[in-house]
Amino acid sequence: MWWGAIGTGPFAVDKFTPPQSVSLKRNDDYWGEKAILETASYLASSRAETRALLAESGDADLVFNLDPSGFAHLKTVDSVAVSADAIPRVVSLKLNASHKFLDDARARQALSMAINRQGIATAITRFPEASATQLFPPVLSEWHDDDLKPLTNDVEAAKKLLADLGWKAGDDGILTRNGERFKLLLRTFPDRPELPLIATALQSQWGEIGVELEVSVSSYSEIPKGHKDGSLEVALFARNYGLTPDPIGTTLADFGKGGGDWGAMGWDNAKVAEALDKISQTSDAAVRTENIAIVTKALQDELPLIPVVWYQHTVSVAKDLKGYVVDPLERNYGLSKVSWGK
Amino acid sequence: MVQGSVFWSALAGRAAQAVVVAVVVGIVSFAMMQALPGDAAYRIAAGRYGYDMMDAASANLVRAELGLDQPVLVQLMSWLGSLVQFDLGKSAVSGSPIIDELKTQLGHSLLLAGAGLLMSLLIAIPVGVMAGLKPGGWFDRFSMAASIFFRAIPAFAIGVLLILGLAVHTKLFPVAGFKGPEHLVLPALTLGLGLAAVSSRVIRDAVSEAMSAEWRLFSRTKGLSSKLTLWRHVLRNAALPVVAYVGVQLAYLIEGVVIIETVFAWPGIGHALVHAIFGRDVPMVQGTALALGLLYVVLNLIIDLICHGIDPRRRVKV
Repeated sequence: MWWGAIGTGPFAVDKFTPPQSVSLKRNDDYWGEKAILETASYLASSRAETRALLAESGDADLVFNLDPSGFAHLKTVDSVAVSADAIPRVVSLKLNASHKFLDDARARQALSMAINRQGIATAITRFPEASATQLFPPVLSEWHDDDLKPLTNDVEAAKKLLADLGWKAGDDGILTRNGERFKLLLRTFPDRPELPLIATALQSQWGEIGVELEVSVSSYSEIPKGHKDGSLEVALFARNYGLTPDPIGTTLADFGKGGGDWGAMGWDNAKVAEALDKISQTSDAAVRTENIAIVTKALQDELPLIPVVWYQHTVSVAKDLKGYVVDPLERNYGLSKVSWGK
Repeated sequence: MVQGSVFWSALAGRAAQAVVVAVVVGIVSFAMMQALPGDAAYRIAAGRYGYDMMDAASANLVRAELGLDQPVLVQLMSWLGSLVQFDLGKSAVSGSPIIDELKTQLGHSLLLAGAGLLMSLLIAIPVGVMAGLKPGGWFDRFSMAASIFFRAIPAFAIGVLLILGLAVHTKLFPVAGFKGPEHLVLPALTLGLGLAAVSSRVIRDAVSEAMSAEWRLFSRTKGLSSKLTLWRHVLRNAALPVVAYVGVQLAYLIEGVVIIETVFAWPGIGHALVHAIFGRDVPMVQGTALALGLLYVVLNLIIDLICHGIDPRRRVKV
């Protein structure tokens, strides 16, 4: 075989058929607490319908990432328990703040006010309580700031802000300034099925304030590429701020000096960069709190990224499976702790 | 011997065809991948690392590692050079040898296609023959309606309906996966129903045509019973267009069942090819296209040989 799985975990690879499945058997020589299950197998299924059916029939005991309709249906199935847990992943819009339409913070604020987050969270992602009021969700308790003025939906105020910036509605309702139409291209990708849907909702909501949005659904690699060559205008994606145990790893890369492929673009805030540097260099809680407040306030006021909805990690677990715990960082399936029981 | 020489010349012809196919497919697929928009290094990095991990820096590492900044001609020549040594190279995304990927993916595709075809014949032959024996009768009209129904529903919907009926509610078969023979039943049946919808009509037409042919009247006149005529003459004559049609179907099946593979989480070459194209995995695209091209040649050869066996007229050199 071309591969060799070298590891020291509670399970060892038994059979590996990329890209679709892995079979595991318990590693009896494991140095730590040994797993309870003898074997486990993973099956990658790219269709949400199939995943829901696998859960319902009992073929799969643990199923991750259900679509909204599958999640609603599985709630009515007796043999499984479904859960939706807040995780530090956020659906947001990345704006090119050096673009001539977007270089004024007021323009970005207007675009943010035009978004009906409650509507998107209710109709598309179907967790109304997860409509974002700021970038960092409550699950990132150190970074979520209850004192921040929440982002709101106010179409009239948005129109006024844009009018202040010199935009006037043309014959077809689209804003123009100095003979240029307010037209933007949004890049997103289909790997997370809700993203193209949210993109079309945004298309219609921004249309109400006279902003014409064209949506391009392609590979997600187009986003870092557009960041690099400067061609990106707007991007929609879901970013996990829990990729590193301390979110400072991700936030420093995204909002530090020069911004980041999946973070700020054309937006440099010296105070934020300095605060992030301080946070990364200390474990002193007071210093961290003080500097995190500087960062979150600046992000909320200047909106280099416009948060849309916070993410819920949906899981279906067979009722007889005990000991399963959701990992909010999406890195561990927790198989070593689960067992079959009454 | 006349028969033997026809056989060997057919074989030699197909072998020459295979070489031409290999070279043309390799060059054309390479050229098409080059013509696609987007930066290959970024796409490959996306396929390798996922959206949480990939960024411009990882794309640049990929570009350096795979030599994507080399002239196009150099890249193509290096592929052709490896090909003559029967080395298909390594996947740009997973790093595994293409030959291993093909063994898994093509093997599963062939299994599914074969099972689907078998399933379709089990349905289509009895239905088609019965309908063709009495064209315009109630069974013919009923099977026509059923055929239109199954042809009109997308394979995806048939698959989900079968899963609901035979897996979720009755628990007869597993929903998805590819561990054992029980996993093969539902995807094969889904395929078989869609295929039988058309092939049952082809069989019906062939049988009804044979039934009204003059040679059939002759065989009855010379005293053969209706049953003997059916077995000895009608089915043999009707088989020719059917075998040719089934051959075409099989070729389509092997690469055209991406949707069914996705619904049933079944690994397959169609799936692999689509992913390889999205991921700009050029060696994988070339390897897959090459395998499919050669498979067409082999299938054509097999169909030729079967038709040879059925139809004695073909064995005589004109």
